[in-house]
Amino acid sequence: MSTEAAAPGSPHQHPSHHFRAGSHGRLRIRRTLAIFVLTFAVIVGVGAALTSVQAPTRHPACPPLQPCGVPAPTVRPLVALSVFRSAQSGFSLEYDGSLLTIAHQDGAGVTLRVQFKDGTTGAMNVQAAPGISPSAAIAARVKLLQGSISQLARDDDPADELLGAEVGLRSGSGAVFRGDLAGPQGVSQSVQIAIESATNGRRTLLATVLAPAQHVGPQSDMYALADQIINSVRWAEGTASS
Amino acid sequence: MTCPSCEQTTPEGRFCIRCGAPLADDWEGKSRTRSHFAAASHQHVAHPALISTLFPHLPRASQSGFRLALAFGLAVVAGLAALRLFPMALIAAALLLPLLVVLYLIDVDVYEGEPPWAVAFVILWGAVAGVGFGLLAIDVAPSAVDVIAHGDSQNVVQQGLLLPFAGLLVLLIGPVLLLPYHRFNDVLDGVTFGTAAAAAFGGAQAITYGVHYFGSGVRPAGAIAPWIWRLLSLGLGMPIVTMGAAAAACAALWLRYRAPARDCEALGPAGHPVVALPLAAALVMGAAVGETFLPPWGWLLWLAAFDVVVIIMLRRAIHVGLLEEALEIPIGPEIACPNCGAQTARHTFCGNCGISLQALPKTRPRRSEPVAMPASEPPA
Repeated sequence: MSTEAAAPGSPHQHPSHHFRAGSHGRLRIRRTLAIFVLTFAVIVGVGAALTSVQAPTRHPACPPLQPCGVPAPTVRPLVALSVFRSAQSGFSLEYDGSLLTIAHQDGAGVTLRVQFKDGTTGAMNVQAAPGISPSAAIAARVKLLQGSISQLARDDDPADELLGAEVGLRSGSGAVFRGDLAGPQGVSQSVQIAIESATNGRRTLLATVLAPAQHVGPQSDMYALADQIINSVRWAEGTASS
Repeated sequence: MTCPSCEQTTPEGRFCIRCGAPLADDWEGKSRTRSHFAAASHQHVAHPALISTLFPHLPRASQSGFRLALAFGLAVVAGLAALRLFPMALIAAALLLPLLVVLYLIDVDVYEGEPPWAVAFVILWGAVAGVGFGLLAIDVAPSAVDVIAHGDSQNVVQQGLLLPFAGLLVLLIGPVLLLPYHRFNDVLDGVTFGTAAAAAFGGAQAITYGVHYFGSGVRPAGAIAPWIWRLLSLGLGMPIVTMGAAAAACAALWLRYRAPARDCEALGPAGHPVVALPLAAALVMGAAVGETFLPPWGWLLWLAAFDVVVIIMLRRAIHVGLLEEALEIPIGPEIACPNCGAQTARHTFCGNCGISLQALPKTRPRRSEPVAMPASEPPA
C-alpha cells in the first residue's frame, strides 16, 4: 500500500498513512519458525487422517502355508459373452460386453475398457508378443510403461501377489507393479499394473491389467473380470490350449 | 548535499534517501541502473535469491527465518516421501509455499490498519481458480486406456500448454480487479497480490488434481527417488515459476497503470501488458510442458532453470518499480533502518544500505507515540 502523501480532500487520498520501515516484522525468527512448524504439523496430521480414512483395507488372499478358502466369486456368472478374435495373431478371447468395451484393437491384440462408478477407468490389454519368452515380454512391457507411468516400482505387498500366473490355461510368469499417473498439475492417481504372460512354445501372449489402485486387488471386480478374460483366451488354431 | 542523480538535497550518506542512487564520487546515471537490489540492498539485482524476491517486504534479519522454514518444509516433504508416505508428502508439498506466503503477510503486516479483504480476496480467488483448473485437468488427463494402448500418459497440448496458460490468466483476474483501487498503488502491492493468488492457485490445483490419489492408501507402493524429485517439482519448482510469473505480470501492470506518468515506461517494452502477460504465460507453459517429456529428475532441473529466469525477471520489475517510486514528501526524522540498523532520515530509501523503505514492514502506530517516530525496538 502506498505511503505516498496526497493532498487532503483529493479524490486519490489514501485512507491510511502508516509509514513503513518503522519496525521489524511482527514475528521474528523464532516465532516464524514456531508458527510454521506447528501449522505444517497440523497440515501433515490432517493429511494423514484423511488418507487413513480413505485407505482401502487389504489383506493377503492366501497367507503363506494357509488354505486360501473359497475363490472370489465372478461378477456375473451367467452372461452372454462377446468374442474378440485377432486376425493377425490368431488368438481369441471372451469378455462381458455389458461391463467392458473395446477401446482399441490392432494386429497385435485388443484393449478393453471398464468404467468405474467414481469416474475413473481401468483397462485390460491382451496381445501377442512374437519371438520372445514370457519373462522377456513382461520386461518389455514394463520398460514401455516406465515412459508413461511415474514412480513405477514392483509391488511387493503380499496382498497384491499374483497367484498362479497363466494365460489361456497355460502356466506362465506374472508380476504386479505400482505407479502413478502424473502431469504438470500434480499426481492424479495411483495405479496398479498386473502383467501375466505365457507361451505355447510358438507364440507368447501378454495380458496387462491397469486400473486405479483402489479398484484392484485379489478380491476386486476388476481382477475377477480380468481372470475371466484371461482364462477364456484360446490360442491360435492348431496350437489349442491343453 | 545534492544528489547527482535526482539533483535534490539529501543528507550525507552512501545512498540518496530520495531516489536511492549511490552517492559515490564516480556514480553516474539514473538510480535504477544501480546494482543493489532495491528490496534487499545487500544483494545484487541479478542475484536469483528466492526469499528476498518473492517476499520483498522482509527485512534482512527476517529472511533467514523464512529460509529456515522453507528448508525445514522441504526436508519434511522429502522425509515423508522417503518413508513412502506419499499422499501426506503430496499434501505437505502442495501447501508449503501457500503457508509461507500467509506467514509472510502476517509477519510484514502489509495491510495493517486496513481491512484484510484485499489479500483474502486474491487468496480465495487463487484457491477457487486452482480447484477449477484441478477439476479441468482431471477431466482432460489421459486414462488407463491411453496408457496401456498407446503408451501415453501425457496430454501435451491440454495439460502441458493450454491449462497452464489459461490458469495463469484466470488467476491474474483476481489481482487485476484490485488495480483500480487507489489505496493499492505501489508496485509491491501488485507483487503481493500476484504472489498470493498464484501460491493459492498452485496449492489448490495440486490438492484437487490428486483427489483420487488420496484414496490409494497411506503408504502406497512406488519408487521413492522419483517421488522425491516430483514432490520438489510440485512443491517448489513449479509454484515458484507460477508465483514469479504472476507477480512479474502484476508488477508490470501496476507500474504502467498505477505509477506516475513519468514512470510507466520504466520497464521498457517488457512492461507493456501486451508483452508482459504473454511472456509470463509463456514461462509458465514452458515450465509445465517439460513434465510431459522429461523424467522426474529432469523436470526438476528444467524447472530450476525457469525459476532462475522468472526470479531475475521479477527482481528487475521490483527493483525498477521501487526506484521509480520516490516519494514527494519532506525529509522526516531519523529512524533506525530495520534492514541495516543504521540511523537514516525517513524518506524513501535508507541512506546507509540503500534499501527502499517501502519494501519494509509498516510501522504499527502505538497509542503513546506518533506514527512517524522511530520504532522502539532495537535493530537486529
